[in-house]
Amino acid sequence: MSERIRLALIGLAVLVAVTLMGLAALLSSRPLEAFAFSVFAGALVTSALAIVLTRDIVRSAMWLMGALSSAAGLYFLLGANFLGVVQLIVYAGGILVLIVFGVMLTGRSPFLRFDPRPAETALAALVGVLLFAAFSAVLLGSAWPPLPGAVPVRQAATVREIGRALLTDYLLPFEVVSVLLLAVMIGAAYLARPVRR
Amino acid sequence: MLAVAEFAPVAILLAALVLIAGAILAASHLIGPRRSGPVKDIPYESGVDPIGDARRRFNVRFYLVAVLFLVFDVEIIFLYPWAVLFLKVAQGSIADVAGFESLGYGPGFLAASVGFFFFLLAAGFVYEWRKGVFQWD
Repeated sequence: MSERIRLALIGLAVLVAVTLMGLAALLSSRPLEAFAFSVFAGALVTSALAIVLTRDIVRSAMWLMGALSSAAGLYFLLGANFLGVVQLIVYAGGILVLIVFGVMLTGRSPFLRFDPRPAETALAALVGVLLFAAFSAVLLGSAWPPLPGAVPVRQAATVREIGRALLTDYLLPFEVVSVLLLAVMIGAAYLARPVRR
Repeated sequence: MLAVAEFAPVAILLAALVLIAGAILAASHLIGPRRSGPVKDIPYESGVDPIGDARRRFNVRFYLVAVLFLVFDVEIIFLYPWAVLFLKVAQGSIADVAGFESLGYGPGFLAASVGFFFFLLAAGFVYEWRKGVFQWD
């Protein structure tokens, strides 16, 4: 298949998917949220599938960025601003960088690839099915009390509340965190120190 | 229960980003000229000539840079709720947190508490600098 045709097909598929999401969202009582949810959820599922299916570990990491960012979008949709920012900065920003650095520092073969044995694939599938079953059981078993209708979540107020708690009731843990980060800095410098000859 | 109006600019920006990036990529693929040669195929054409392959093991000191990045990354996380709170307290409009300033948590206190947080990390940074961690040779 030539590259142009493949590109056109991908673009067409994305257009069709987004249009379908938009049409489905129009049926909902809150179309904007429904549309945003479908976009983020669709991106999340697509990226998650791509992480598992691609064989190249660096590409896998790049798809992981898509999955983590889409999850952050879902957090923002839920009004959990702080969690969304943490997800973006720590996971999509930090952990992903560490994964890529891990590949850079350890990769022995020119093109590092996943080549799982059938037993490993079966084990991974088993773990996946068990996790799915557990999550589904929790989801279906929980009671979801309806939110009181007329109480909007105050977006900035939640972050401000976290800041207030952090600087009043939890001031000591907040300052201790800086000591912990200091220890991390010194420990990393010690581990990666230049060898003196 | 999302405040749609608050996120409308973000949504417009995101949509514009995706559209423009997709359009540029597609346009350069579809109408761009294709000439290739040994010079055009190197990673930085018209740049520095590469030495060796990119797919090899890197010096462990790069890892130190990554860890330092993570440390300051986490620090930013803690600055975010502080900044949101500080803005309101400095403007004197923290009506929804009753008795906040009367308990002694004024702008000066907030600045001092985050200043100590910042000072410790800056001290660590200066320590590493003086130790010669950033000297590569």
